[in-house]
Amino acid sequence: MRLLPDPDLSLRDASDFIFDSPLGRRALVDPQPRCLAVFLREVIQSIYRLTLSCHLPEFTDHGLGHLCSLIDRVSRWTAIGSDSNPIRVIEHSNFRPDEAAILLLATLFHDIGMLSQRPEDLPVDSTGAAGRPLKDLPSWVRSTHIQRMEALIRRVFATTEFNDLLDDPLILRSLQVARAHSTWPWDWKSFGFTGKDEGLAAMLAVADLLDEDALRCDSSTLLRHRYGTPVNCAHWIRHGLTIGRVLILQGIITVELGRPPGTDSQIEPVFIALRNHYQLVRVYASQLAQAGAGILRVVFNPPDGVPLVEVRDLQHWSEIPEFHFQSALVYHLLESFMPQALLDERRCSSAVIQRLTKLGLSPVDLTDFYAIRGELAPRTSLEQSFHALLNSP
Amino acid sequence: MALEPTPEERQQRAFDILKHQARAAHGEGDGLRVGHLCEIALQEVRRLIDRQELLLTIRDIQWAFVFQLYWLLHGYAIQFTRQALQQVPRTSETDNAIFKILDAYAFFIEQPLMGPDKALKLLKELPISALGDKITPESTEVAVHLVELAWYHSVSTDGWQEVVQLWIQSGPTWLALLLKPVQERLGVQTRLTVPSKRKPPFHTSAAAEISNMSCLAELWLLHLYGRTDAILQRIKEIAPKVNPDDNQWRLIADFWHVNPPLSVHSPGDAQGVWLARRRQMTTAFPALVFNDRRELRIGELLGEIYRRGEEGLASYRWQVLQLAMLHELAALRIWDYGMWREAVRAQSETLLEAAKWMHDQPGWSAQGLVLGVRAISLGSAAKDSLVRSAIDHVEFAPQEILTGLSSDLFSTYPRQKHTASGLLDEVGDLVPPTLWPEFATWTATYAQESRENITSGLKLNPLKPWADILPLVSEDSSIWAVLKPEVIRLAQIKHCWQGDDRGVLWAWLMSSPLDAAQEVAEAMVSLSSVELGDSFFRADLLTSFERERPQVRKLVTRELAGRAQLPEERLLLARHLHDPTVGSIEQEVRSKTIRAVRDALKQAVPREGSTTFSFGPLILGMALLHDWPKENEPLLREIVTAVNSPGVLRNWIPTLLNWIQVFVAYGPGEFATLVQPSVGSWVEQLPLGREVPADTYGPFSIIQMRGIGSDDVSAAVGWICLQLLRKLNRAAHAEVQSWIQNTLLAGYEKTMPIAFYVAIVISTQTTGECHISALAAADAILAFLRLRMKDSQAAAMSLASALAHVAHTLRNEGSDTVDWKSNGAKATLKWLSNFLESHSPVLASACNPHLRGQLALLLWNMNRNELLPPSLTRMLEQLGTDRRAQVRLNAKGGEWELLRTRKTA
Repeated sequence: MRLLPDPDLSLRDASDFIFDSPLGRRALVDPQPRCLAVFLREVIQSIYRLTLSCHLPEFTDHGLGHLCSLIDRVSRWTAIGSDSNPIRVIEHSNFRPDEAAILLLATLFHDIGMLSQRPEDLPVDSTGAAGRPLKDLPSWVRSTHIQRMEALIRRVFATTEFNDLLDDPLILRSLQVARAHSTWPWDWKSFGFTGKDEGLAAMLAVADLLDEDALRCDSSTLLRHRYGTPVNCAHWIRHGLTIGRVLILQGIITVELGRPPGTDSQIEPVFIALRNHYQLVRVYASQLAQAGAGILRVVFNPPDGVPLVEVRDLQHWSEIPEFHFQSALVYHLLESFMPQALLDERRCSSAVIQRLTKLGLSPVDLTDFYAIRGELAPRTSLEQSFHALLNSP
Repeated sequence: MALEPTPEERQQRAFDILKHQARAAHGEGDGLRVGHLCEIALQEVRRLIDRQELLLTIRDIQWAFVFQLYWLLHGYAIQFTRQALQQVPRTSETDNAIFKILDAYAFFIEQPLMGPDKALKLLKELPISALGDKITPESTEVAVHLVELAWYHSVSTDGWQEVVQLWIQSGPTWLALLLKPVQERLGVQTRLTVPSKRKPPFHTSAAAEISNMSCLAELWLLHLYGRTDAILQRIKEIAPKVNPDDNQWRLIADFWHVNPPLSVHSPGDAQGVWLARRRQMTTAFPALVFNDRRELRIGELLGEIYRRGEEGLASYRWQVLQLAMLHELAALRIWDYGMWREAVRAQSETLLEAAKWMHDQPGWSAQGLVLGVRAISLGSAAKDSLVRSAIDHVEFAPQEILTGLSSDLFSTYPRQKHTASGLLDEVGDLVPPTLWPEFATWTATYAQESRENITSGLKLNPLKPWADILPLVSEDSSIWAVLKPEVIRLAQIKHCWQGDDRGVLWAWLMSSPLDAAQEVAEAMVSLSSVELGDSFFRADLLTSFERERPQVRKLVTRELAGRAQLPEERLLLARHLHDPTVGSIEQEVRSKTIRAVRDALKQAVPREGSTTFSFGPLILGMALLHDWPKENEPLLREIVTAVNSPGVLRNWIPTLLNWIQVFVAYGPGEFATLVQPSVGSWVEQLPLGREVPADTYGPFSIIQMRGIGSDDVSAAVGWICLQLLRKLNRAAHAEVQSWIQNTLLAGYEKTMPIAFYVAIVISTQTTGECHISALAAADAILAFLRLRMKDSQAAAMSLASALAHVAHTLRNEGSDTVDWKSNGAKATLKWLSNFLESHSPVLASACNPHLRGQLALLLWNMNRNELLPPSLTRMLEQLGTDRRAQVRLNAKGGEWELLRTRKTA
């Protein structure tokens, strides 16, 4: 089995990993433009440098580690119906090298905005172009990283020989594919995808959605040594709840779950939400089919309830002052999920809830969650922590 | 399996989260965040208490009470906090002791006007050892803040020092280490911020010494001494050592900002840059943001108080005082001079505003005035109704309050003295006579410092309050010697020979020892190069001086006569010196005056379409010539025609009417007959002229032209009416009565004194129905003004003028206006006596000293003419002991009587 690069990834390791990956090889079989390999190397180097200097400590990894993980997941994605001879989606004869190049570039581009904090990269017609009104820096970076992506890339290469290359149709398509990963597929009409690009966008989105596992970050060290808000900590803990890599083999996604030590059935809503999170890949089913990357089902171990396996890396969760009791842990973990994974009627439209319920997502009891979060009026994060600990909303 | 925590563990952990955050935020000065955390905690405490589920002790949650009160932003929080505090179960002696400390802490913040005795008693009884041996941010905070509050409440008696000593002895060991530097700081800040006779202002040489405490302390003192150069030099030395990101940098920059280099060529940024930078820097420090927020809240509350303008806003006033007290203490901690001034200004304004509604506690109003001086924020009484009402409130304050007020005003730093001087211009003669020598020294020092440009303003006449006091100073007083150099300086400022500033020179010339008066007169004469107009006023002053004090002979005026150029001045001096050339000079002045009037008429009625305008000139001849013969009738007709012209400019009307009055007053009876029909029509419809071709009045006009309103025109017509009465007697009654009636209906306060005067004159000229009607009008006018005087300073001043007019006719023996021996006059005097018997108690206790002074003068004149009923004699005696020097003086006949005394001597 091919190992992912070390978490303390060096540029050369990551570069080797990417170029040697099936996706990388496929993309460079017949490169158009011809300088694609050199350009890819420059992109990887730029991401590396941005990660070293500009990645915000509040975030989980958005650098080369995360990108290698996605490239690995896409590379190892095997198509449905080939039990005896699994065929990788990207190596299928219908999957052309230029499509592989688009997917590879889009994967490298998709989170580059998370590695930079300059407002001048916003489009001039953006409402936030003038600065960062009413938002803290991490929230602003997160909410604008897609808007800033293209200008950032153009700025990075503005004084290089690749400046003109950025207007190559292949690059422009890859930017469009990357851009789509932050929106749900029912909103993709505005992108005007051509060819298989919609399928490529879905592959990137699913690969990203599944990058939830324990390898995404060193939860144990983060929890013990890095300062973070309760939501940051909740994200670090949440990654620890998925044990091992999550891959797509013959259309089946297998997810193995573990629980934080010292928790019991009180934490069950978190696992319902986590399973829902993974089930969200099914919203991309029709788009994935266009790229020959169908999904049959998501298999969980255990299939329901609270896992019996305890994750030792999470044993220090209760040392975080805001978490300390299981009631607070549950609250903060639920707060870390996107509303769709919670089937949250307060934050999602009824059409979305219906659509997701049909796909097999399970309802989450949010009564206590909202009692702590603030039923009538929003509370601050600290107030929520206080009431979560008191368990007396 | 997970262990389920106990409810107590849950509460402990949950509240600890808030406590740790609150302690951190408190340390960072992030008061807004602390306030939020405390509100969350106290809300939950009350909920748990209501459900009888609170499992924590008062010590566990004392942080929430302490920090909530320390970072107070809304007054309601005090009540909320005290209620919560009282509900927390207390199960041990320690609980009770901590409760006592916290409750007292809340009480001290709730009661910013608490007297020192009560404050000290409470503090000394506190079981301070209950703070415990373990030091925590909240226990240190409550201890330090209580000491600061003790200082605030008892700085006047220095009682807070006793509390510190007691607590150092009886409190936990850490308390001594904590309180000693606080005690030292407050000791310095007492003399810096609340200087008094007991704790006098620092000498400027102490700056270096107190810099050991803080470089800001040194800058503070240098600023109060107006040592701009020294401040800039020190800032240049200090600034490189301070990180521009440090809060202290902004505070140092404040001193630079308020002491900008005088030269425009000096290096440095423009004021706009300083201010913008200051605002920007404020946002970088949570403590400064909080302080700004609190100032904003104080401003909101004061704005609401002013806007609603009603008595029942006690909660707003208390909130301002509570917040301003905390703001002051917070400012002192960080040596923030600007913040301290804002805090003290807010305290001052609240006390001044409250004075509008108070009937007792004049001490608070006195305190409000002193605080306004210390904060250099007090406005002039003429323009600021709050200052006016506070002065009214201290008008009859007990002697000890006036002594305290005076002493505090004399214990001011140079920067504050200009504001103090503005107040003393209004209340100077309220200073108790025993403090006059000290007042004189203070005045001389202020005058010297203002010349050195180290006060916050400059006055040509720093001696104004002495005009009312000097006539009462004994000749052997040291005051004459102290003030003489300043009076001599004043005498050499030509602008001070006329207008209000003339008063003090007049008082000195009339009242001082003869040699001192002569020195001042010689100082005036010694000024050789003066403009002709100014020279006239000097001659006027000095001829009066020589006339009233014949002992000085006429040496100075003879010298002036030798070099006088202006015909009017020559005429004045020639008359005084009985020079045979008087007739020819008078003719010269007359010709000049007639030419000036005709020139002026062209400007008063400019050509149609003209867009320029001018103001009426000062024609000295109009005041100097007391005889306008028949041959000048054409000129009078021209003036009357101008007034009746549709093209006459509005701003000229009062001037033209005044000239008509002079012609009628000093002309033959025909002049009165000539203008009578016009007066009749003006009475029915005031001549207002046409609008000036520019914005000269109204709320959006940059220029505000005074003295051209309907009331001013009506008053000018009223003076003509008086002259008609003098000249035509009963033949003018119809027009004059009609004018009185219209004046009453219009309700012009400014016109009432002359209306009262002419009503009295008519009543003395008639009997029967006309007499009764005139007195009814006089009665109505006095009643109107009496009712209005409480709310209107103008009404009180008009009432004073009305009494002054009558007093004037009673003083002049052989008045050509009133024949006091006529039957009508006797009846009028009877009416006046009755009126005064009924109303003088109210008038004698009016806040306006001018009103009381004119009442005193009227009673004195009646007494002199043996017209004063016995019932009013006591009133006159009472006014003779009035706190105001000017009232006392008038009750003894004023300057005139004093002069008689000196002449006799």
